[in-house]
Amino acid sequence: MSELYESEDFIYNRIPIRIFNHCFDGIEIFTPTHWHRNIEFNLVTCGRIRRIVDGIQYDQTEGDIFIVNSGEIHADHWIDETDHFEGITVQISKSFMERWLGGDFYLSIPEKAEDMQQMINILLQFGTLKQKKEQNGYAGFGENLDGTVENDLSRIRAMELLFRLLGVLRMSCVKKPTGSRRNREDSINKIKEITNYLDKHYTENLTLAAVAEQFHYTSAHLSRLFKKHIGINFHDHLQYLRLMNCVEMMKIHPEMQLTVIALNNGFPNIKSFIETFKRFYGCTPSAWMKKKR
Amino acid sequence: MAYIELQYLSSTITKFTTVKAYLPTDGMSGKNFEPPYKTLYFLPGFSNDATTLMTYLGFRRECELKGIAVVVVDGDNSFYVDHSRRLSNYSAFIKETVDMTRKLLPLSTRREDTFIGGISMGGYGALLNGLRFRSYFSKIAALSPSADCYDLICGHEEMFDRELFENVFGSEEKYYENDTNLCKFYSEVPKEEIPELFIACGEQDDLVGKGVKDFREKLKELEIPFIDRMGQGNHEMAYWEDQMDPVFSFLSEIEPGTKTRLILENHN
Repeated sequence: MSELYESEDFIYNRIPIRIFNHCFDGIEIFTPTHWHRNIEFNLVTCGRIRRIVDGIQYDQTEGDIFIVNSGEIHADHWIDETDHFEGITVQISKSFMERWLGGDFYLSIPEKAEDMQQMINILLQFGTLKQKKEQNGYAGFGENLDGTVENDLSRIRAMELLFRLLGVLRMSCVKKPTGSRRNREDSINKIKEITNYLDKHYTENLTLAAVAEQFHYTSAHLSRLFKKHIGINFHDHLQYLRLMNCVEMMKIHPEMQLTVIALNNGFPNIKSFIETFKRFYGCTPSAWMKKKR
Repeated sequence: MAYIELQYLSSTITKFTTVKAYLPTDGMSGKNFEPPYKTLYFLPGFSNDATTLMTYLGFRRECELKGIAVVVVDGDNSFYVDHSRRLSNYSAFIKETVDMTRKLLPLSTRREDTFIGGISMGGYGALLNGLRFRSYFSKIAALSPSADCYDLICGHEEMFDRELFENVFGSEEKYYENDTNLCKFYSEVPKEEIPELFIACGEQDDLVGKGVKDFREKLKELEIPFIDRMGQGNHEMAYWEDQMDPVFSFLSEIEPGTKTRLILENHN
């Protein structure tokens, strides 16, 4: 799941923004626990969604904004299996933001309703900009793989919106981190180290006790840390990590035998894989594959 | 010193299989190694099996001298890749073998104690699966590996048949596009994740010689370090027997030639 932990890959002549227009139903409303350096702005445009940041749940509906600060551990989840969700996510380069807002800050949502409305409008316009690009069959900002850049008007429009957003942020969102927030960051960094470790070793036969030993914790302490910051217990997190990697593999290699997919991704046997899959998707993997086709 | 034949039901190749193992416990030389043991998983070549290799070559002696357990599998003529349509997944089988033998035998579960090796087709299997399952293996020892299976099979039609290649790998394009192409695979994995490598191939070996030469050059170009052993020899047991001490010295991190004599002790 390398794409979950993105490195800062914006380059000076690139647009430091990524825009996503989301539209999901039911259990597809799901993003596994991850983090990135980029700062993320989320707007719900229709339906609802559960955001989980640092182990705490926030249920959001139409018109709600959610800001994920740099390095915060977050995930998305459906609230009910019949839910529908549409929204816009805008990710902005941390280093770019630092250049304009200074180094040591974090962002909270605006307190005043008019500032809030301004921010919503800007995010909506980001969404429209992306949509237009996609309708033209091309979603990038005129940036080619070889590093050259095309003279594309949308590049200017995107930066225009970005600077308007920076204005709102500077006026009503920038806060100085407090001491307790810094302490919290320390324990979050530990958790990141551990989830990075799991990310590298999930294919192996891991246990809570073995991982705890690796990091010089007791099992009970590691278990508490997990529950507190990730929001689910160690075993569930590990099984979901394995499951998500299995699902990726099922998409890329539909011809591959499920037993092989399960064992290669760390499930001890096919039964454990099928049970986890059913718990999560509500059907067996083979039924899911048939539906996908 | 213990010899074990271990039969179990494999879910990756959908049949019972037998792995054979030497454990370096209570040796005849009086030297005693305590579990959990460092372990070499070893893959036989085309038309070979575990019994053949273990009776021709000095694994037992090396196990006892260097204190490394040796687990040898039967790989049929699979090239140790997955063949899902036949329910015969010999790549996943490697990982399963490690998990299964760790469950049943007193073997170390640490990466730094776990190695993979093989001869010819098995050498290819070790280079491929050692890298695929690199979180398991810290060292790979490949003896006369068929580093380029297309060249091996389709370049020696007097021995093999193109249909065999297509049956195992799909097509030439698919083989070179995927991680089955070792030169490509080794250039795509971050260098620090690549296990330590030992590659040996006799200078008179024209069965796999070209593939090994290309692979060596690729590794040098990528600046991936490896122990490079050549020497006089063909695709033959005598050459591989000569490599036994160097391989096990590499795995146990001692100077080759310093621990070669198994002198039996009087147990009275």
